[in-house]
Parts: sequence; C-alpha cells; structure tokens
Amino acid sequence: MGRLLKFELRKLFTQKSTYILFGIMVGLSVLSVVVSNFSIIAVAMAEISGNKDASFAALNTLGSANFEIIVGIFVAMFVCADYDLMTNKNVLSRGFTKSEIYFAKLIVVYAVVIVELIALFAINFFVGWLTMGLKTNQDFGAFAAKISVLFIIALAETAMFFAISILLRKTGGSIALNIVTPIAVLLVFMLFDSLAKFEDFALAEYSFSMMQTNILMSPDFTKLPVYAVVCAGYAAFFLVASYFATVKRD
Amino acid sequence: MNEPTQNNQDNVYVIETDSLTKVYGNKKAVNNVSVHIRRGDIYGLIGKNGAGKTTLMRLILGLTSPTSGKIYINSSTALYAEREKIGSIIEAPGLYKSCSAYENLLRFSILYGADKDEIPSILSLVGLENVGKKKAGVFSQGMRQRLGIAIALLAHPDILILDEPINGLDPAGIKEIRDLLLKLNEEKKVTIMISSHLLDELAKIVTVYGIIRKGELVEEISAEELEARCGFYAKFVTSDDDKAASIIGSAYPDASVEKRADGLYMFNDLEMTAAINALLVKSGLDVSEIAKISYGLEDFFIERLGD
Repeated sequence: MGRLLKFELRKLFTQKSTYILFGIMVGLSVLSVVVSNFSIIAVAMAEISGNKDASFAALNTLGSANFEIIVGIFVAMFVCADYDLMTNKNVLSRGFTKSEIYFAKLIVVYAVVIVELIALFAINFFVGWLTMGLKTNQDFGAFAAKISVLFIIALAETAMFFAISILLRKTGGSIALNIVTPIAVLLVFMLFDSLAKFEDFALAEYSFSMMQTNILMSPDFTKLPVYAVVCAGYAAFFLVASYFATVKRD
Repeated sequence: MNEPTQNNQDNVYVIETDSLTKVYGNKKAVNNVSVHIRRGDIYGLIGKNGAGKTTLMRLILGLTSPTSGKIYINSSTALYAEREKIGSIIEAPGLYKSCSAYENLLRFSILYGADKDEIPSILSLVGLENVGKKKAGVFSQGMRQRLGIAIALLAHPDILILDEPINGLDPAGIKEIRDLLLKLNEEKKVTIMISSHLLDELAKIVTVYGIIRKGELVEEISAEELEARCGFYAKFVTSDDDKAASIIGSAYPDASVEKRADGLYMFNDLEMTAAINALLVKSGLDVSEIAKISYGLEDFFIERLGD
C-alpha cells in the first residue's frame, strides 16, 4: 500500500493538470472576492449574510461553484487516467488488490482536496482582509461552525465525484457528470418537492448547493448539525457503494 | 482438484492451470483449460480472435477472477505474491502517453519497488536509450511495445506474459521484438508466454505451443514434436485401422502413428511405407489407399483451430 501511495503521489506531482487546475481555482476564487466588492448581487449577498469582510470571503470559497467544478474535473482526471491509459493493468497484475488501488486513489484525492480547501480558505481570507477588512465584533464560534459544515459538504461532494469517476472510468464522461450531477440532483429534489407537496419539509434543502447557500446566507445555526449529519451520510453512501461496486467488478 | 504437477527442479512448471474456467453470462470464454509452462519455455498461445487467449492470460495475471479451476505460479497458489515475479502486456502496453520513457519507468519503479538506477540499463536493453524527452504518446507502435516490455522488466520478472505483442508492427518492429524476446529468454532466462496470430513469426521463437479453440485447450505440443509432425506424412486407409496401427507399432516401435477418422497417419519412418504396405496385406488387411502428403505448420494449426 505504501508503494501504491508513493506511485499515486508521484503521478499527482508530475502531472501538469494538478497545477493548472489549482491555479485556475485560486485565480477564480480571488477574482470572485475582488468582484464581490463591486458586483451588486455579491454585495447584496454579503450584506444579507451580515458580514462583508474577510470571513465572508473565506466562507464563500468553501461554498462556491468554482471550487465544486474544479474539484469535479480534478477528481475525474486523476481517478480515470489509469483506466483510460490501461496502466491500471500494470498495477493489478503486480499483485495489488482492487481494494488497495481504490483506497490509494481515495486517500490521495482527499489529501489534495483538503490541502486545496485550506489553501484557498487562507488565500481568500487574506485577499478579503485586504479588500474588505475584518470585523472584529462578530461571533467567531458561529463562524467556525459554518466553516466546519461547509468543509464537510465539500468532502461529501468529493466523495460523490470520486464515486462517479471510479465507476465510470472514463475521463471525459466523468468530468461531464461531475459538473452536471450537483445541478441535476437539485432539480430532481425540487421536482420531488413539487410533487410531494410536504408542508414542513423540502428535500431540495438537502442538496449540496442549497445547503451551501443556506449556510452562507442564513443567520440560522440550528440546521448546521443536520446538514453535517446528512453530508456524512451522503459521503458514507457514495464511498461504500462505489467501493463494493469497484471490488466486485470484473 | 489435482495438486500441481511437479517434475525435477530443472523441469518445474512455472505456470500451471488446472481445469481453469471463466464464464461470462452464458459464454464459457475459457473452458476447463490446463496449461503447463516450464521454466525457460517460450510458450506460444495460438487461437483465433475470441478463442480465449486474452482471457486465459488475464486469469493468470489476476486481472479477472476464474469461475472455477486453479492457477499455480511456481507451484504456489499464493498468487498475489507470485504475481510480483510476472511482467506483462495485455492487449496494449499501459503507458503514460504524456510522459517520457524515463518518467514512465520511474513511476513504475516506485510501484514495483525497483531501483531507479537500473532504468538506463533497461532502456538500453530494449533499445530506447536515445529517445530523450520524447513523449510516449508520439512513439511508434514498436517503440511503445518495447517500452511496455521495459516496464514489465523493471522488477526482474521470471516470467513475461505478452498478449499479441507483434500485432500491427511493421517487419522491422516485429524483428526488434523477436530479437528482444530471444535475448531475454537466452540471457536473462525469462520464461515467456506469448500469444499471436502470426504463425510464421511465432515459429521463429516458440519452444512449446498451446492451441486454444472456443475457450478449450486443444493441444500442447513442443516445437520439436511439431517439427517432426510437419514435412511429409503417410496416410493409410485399411479395412481395420486399429489392427493396422497395432501391427505397425509392433513391427516399427519408433514409428509415430495416429488413428484418425479418415485413416491411419504415420509421421516418421516414411521410407518404410512400401514395407508396411506389404506387411499389412500379408496380415490379411485390405489397404485401399496409401498417400504421401505434404504437411506444414499452417496445415497443422488450421486443422486444430477450425475453419
């Protein structure tokens, strides 16, 4: 397993796409912080959230569609490359198991996403501080809770991207599905709500994008633990299902 | 299940399968196959498209699981460990096309636990020492195959399993691969299992043939045996072929005689044909046909592979 992890890390650090995607992610993210100082919509969102400062900029990073799309592309490219190039045969035929391959890829993907999340958070906090300043009278406990749950949502989404990619095994198709699936899931949940007509429950609220928006915009913290549990459930479902499908697949 | 067949140390089967079967849906891709590959063999697996050659190789390499049957590598069923001694190319070499030959080897050296200092000598062995930073994606097919073999050689394998490594290569590319395989077999003592449709090319290197048809192993035959059977043979059609075979066997113990549906075939001692005819007639048998027939490698395989 150690050799497999080193092998995956070597691939990660020597492929240009790793750096290009991270560069794009940082660029878009910084741009969105800068723009949020001028864009009417972004300024309005910041005002609603109650904090138009560095903390808002940093939180926005974790809940942004830019991050979601780039992570979806990265996971698809990294996970599917060995299947597309048929290099996975070189790994399997050397006695490594499908489980080891699955977990080596999963560990590297999560390591990258966590490092990128932290890096982006730090960069955006810094840029936000430079452009908007930092309000010192805010509730830092609430801020930390929001960050934590947004972090969990990002990790659950990563699990979904990973599951799609490792099951599909095609780079192009996985990129397309990873971009489309979060939107498609939201639409399907909304359709379900419009058909079910529950009075005090909306499934769409538990789609990734709605949870992120609610956390960024709503001052209500009571939903945070629910979102955390729901996302942990999503992640467990995607990872367990994709693991067994991968291992049993011939 | 039988235990692996063992001979003395010089004659050990490095790969042996026992009644190996792989079923996909309703189709038996590999059906009850028992192959025997000795140390130092160049084992040529011959069969038509879809005959089960690739599936058999994938089974041995653990790329797919058998439905039933056993695989022994170096007489062991601890296959995960034993497979570390096998290098392989199945269908096409798995390469990182955006990387140089050196980077490809460097990545796999990490995976295989190989010494990266050996990479230049392996590149030299396969004739890729001068490709520099040229990316594998722009290599010719022959160069890609050689790079695939170089990757397989990284961990000093005892066994190489190569699926159609010369298909699609030009004559120069075929010669390069052929020379490389012979060099590995002779100098590094690597046992090789190779599949191909190109009979004439296989005949230049193979020491044992495995003929596979519709998932079943029709025959295993050594190159010497095959050579003995090719050339010319005599065909006798008699009133009682069983009795004729027995008479010939008694009178000429060295004669290689095989009874088939359409007559009795004799593969050696052809100069004795007239004497055998006289003997059979004297023994009271009617001999309705004697023919001396030319029989080549292609005839041998076509007969066994079907139309």
